[in-house]
This record gives sequence, C-alpha cells and structure tokens, in this order.
Amino acid sequence: MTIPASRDDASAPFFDGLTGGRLMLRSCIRCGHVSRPDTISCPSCHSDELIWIDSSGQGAVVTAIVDPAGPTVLALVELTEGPWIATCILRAETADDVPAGTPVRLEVLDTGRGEPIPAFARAQ
Amino acid sequence: MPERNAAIVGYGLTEVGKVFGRTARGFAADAVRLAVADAGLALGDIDGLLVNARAGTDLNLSLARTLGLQDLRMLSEVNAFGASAAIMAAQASKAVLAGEAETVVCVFADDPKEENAGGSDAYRATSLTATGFRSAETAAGFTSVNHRYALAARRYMDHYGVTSSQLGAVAVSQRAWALDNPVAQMRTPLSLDDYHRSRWVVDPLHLLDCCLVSNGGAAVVVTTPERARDLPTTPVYVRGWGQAHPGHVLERGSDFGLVTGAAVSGPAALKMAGMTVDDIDLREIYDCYTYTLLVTLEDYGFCGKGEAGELAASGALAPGGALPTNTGGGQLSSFYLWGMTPLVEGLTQLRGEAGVRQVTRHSTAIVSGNGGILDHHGTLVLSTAAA
Repeated sequence: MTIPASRDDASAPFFDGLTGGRLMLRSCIRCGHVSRPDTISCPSCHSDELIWIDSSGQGAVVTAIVDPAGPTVLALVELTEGPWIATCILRAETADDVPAGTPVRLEVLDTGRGEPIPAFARAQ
Repeated sequence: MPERNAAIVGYGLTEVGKVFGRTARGFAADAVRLAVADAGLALGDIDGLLVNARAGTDLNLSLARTLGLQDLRMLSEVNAFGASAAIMAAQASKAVLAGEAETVVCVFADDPKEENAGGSDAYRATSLTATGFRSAETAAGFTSVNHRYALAARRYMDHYGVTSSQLGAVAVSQRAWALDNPVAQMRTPLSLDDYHRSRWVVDPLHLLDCCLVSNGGAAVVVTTPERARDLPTTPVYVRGWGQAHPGHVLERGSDFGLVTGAAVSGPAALKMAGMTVDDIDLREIYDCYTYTLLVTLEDYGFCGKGEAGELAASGALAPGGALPTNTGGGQLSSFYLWGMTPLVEGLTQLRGEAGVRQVTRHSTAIVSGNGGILDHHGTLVLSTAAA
C-alpha cells in the first residue's frame, strides 16, 4: 500500500524543489550549517534564520534495511552536504546490495499518487 | 546523594495482554486500586497522581475524577513515552521528599489491541496520518516505528559486528525467564532455531525481536520513608534516578543507533545512588526490541560497547546466569506496558515475590525506560536498603 506524500505550509518549498528535480536543504544564515529539509532551528547554533539551498543530490548509504512486503530497501543516506535523509534505494533487493558507504545519487520518485519524493540509486 | 530515600510501597498490575472490555482509563483505575490495596492504603490516602498515557486513548487527568480523588496536591500528565514510568517515579520521589505530597501514585495503561485485529494493526493508524516532510518518508516506506528501529539495529550490528544470532540470544534468554512467570503472555519454549524461523518484520528485525502488544494497566505507590515504615509491604527505596534526551541530529557525525541516552542517564542514576554496575543485582531493561536491550546494557556499563551480544549468547542474562536480566520475560515475552514492564518486575524481584523465577541476590535493581526512537531515556536505581 502506497501512502501518498502530501505537502503542508512548511514543506511546500521542499516539494516544489522535488517537482523541479531538486532536493532542497536548509542553510543557516548565521553560521552556514547545512541541515535536513525539516529543520526549524539550526542544530549547530539554534538560529531559526534558515534559507533553502539546493543539494548536489549525491551521498552515501549510512545503513540499509529491507521491508519484506515490497521487498523494499530503505536506508539512511548521508548527503555530501552532511544531512541524513530517510529514503528508499531503487533497483536494490537486499541490504547487502548497499553496504555502508555505497555512493548513491538522487532520483526523484513519482509514486503515482501525491507529491514526488526523494529516492536514491547506486551511483555508477 | 539525598539523605532520605523515597519508597515504593505498593504496585498494581491488571490482567495484561489480550484483555478486552475495558478502555485505558478503566485499566488505569483498576491498576491504581490494586496498587493502593497492595500498599495497605485506601484511595483517600492518595494526595498525588501522575498519569502517563498513549495519545488517542481515554486516559488523562480525568482519571482523578474517575477515582473520586480529592484534595490532590500533585496531579499531572507525564509523557516521555517509554521513559515515562522512570520519570514519574523520580518526580514522585522528589515530591514526597520535599513534602509537596505524601503518597503519590504513578500509573500507565493502554488499550491498543482490538479484539479482532492483529498486533501490527494496533499502532498503524498513527503512523499513516503524516503530512508534510514526514509524509515523504512514509511514502518511501517508513510506515512504522519498526522501520526506524531496524535502521538503528542494523547500524549497530554492522558497526560492532553483532550478529542476528546474538539478537536471538536475547529473545531466547528472556523467553526462558517468562516460562516461570504466570503473568507472561508468551510461555512456550523458544529456541534459537525458532527465532531464526520467525518471520521478518523489517530485516534485521524478526517478529521475535519485537515487543508484544498488550492491553492493561500498572501503577506504583510512592511515599516517604517514614510512612513506609508503618506499611505492611517490603519498601523498595528509590536510590537514584536519571534521564537523558539526546536530540540526535540525523547528519554526519551522528551516533544514532550506536550510543543512546542510556549512556548519560544510567551513570547519573548510579552516581546518585552511590553505586556502580557491580552493585546491581538485577537489570530490568526496556526491551521494545532485542537490540534496545543490548545497547542499553552497554551504555549502562555492564560491558563494553559492542560486547552485549556476546554476553547474551553466553547465557549470562538468562536464568542461572551471572547477570540476570529482564527476569520476567520483559516486553519481548511477558507484556508491554511501556516503562511499567521493567519497573513492575524489578519491584516483584526486590520484594522477594517472584516465585519460581526469584533471583537469589535481589537487593538492588536498575530499571530503564526508553521512549520514541531512542529519543528519551529514564533510569531508576532501586534497593531494599535505604542510603
């Protein structure tokens, strides 16, 4: 069962970015720290003055798990900018396909219902 | 270190598991009545009430009115999810020692299990109503808390070389304790082969890596050491407490899954108690997953990081082992009432009321609580001796 992603006010820029093929992150005006898209207070300096920036879309697997229902490989991916994204790994079948450190690249996924979501695949 | 120690003088546990016909509030009221009776007290003796509940149930502050309690000097809802029981007991201890109240009851109850639904359905609804950022994760496949704990467990296993069989050893060890616990929901013998054959929930978590779903309620009565002396039960003194809320940021450098709030909360509670891990007879550890048990034992200092799997596989945690742990079967095999599960077993053992599964050395216990996805941790150090 696919649960569609839906936007709210806070996430609108994030989903707009995905519609345009980009994964947006938050950058702190005060200290420059780059953090996850859902960040409200900078984890480094606690400022709430954050702007939206593009990510490179490149990263590496932190850890991967498998939901047998799919089967779907889910993972935490560390972007080159630093933040971790909880996402799915496309065209992988087992956690062994994507051990920690495997380079991956963003592929925006249109699930057919609701907003597009970030997904990743092994970088060739 | 406090000069006086608050005392837990009673506890109540309703029927647990597949119990129907009452809501969370009903279970909570029953648990409070049982706890107060166990303490040799009457409801009119209570002057403080702390209530922990899962969002969406009918349990809240109105429990005081349900019970007809009047002239309370302390009444609050407390919620750090699975860490709540330990935190409530600490708050109650501080209140009675400060003279803000004299007899405080702490209660948790839940009714996730519907009569004709499976266990996994119990928590599904709350996972699937996400909107916004979180809905992108849900749409990717993160539809339950099991997925998030699976990430933590996998990271931990890969980093330290902990194996699936070592996780299984926890399940096997705790089932062995549960066989001698008349309250336990799971009382059929479990082998490591049985564990490996159990279906995947989310790899690396098998069904038998995950805690039970239970309806029921539990309550404890906390009072002053002076009052405790006049009451019929063996008092269990609250010698120390701690809590920690790491606020893990999921970004480069995070130790999510590897080190938890237990590493701060446990040492704080032991220090307050003037004890070390070597002074602890019993470990009653929040075991929402086998993984949680292992990482907590390490973070408390019962062994080095990454070594708890070997400890479990050696049989040390099982009946007859050197480090009796989750001696009623825990949340994996006995019942799941959040942080009340380990607390109630700790009290049972310390009071010498554990029957066939009674551990010989039962003077001291450490009790853990874990809430959210490793977001909240609470610790109690209990003893039959005051400081």
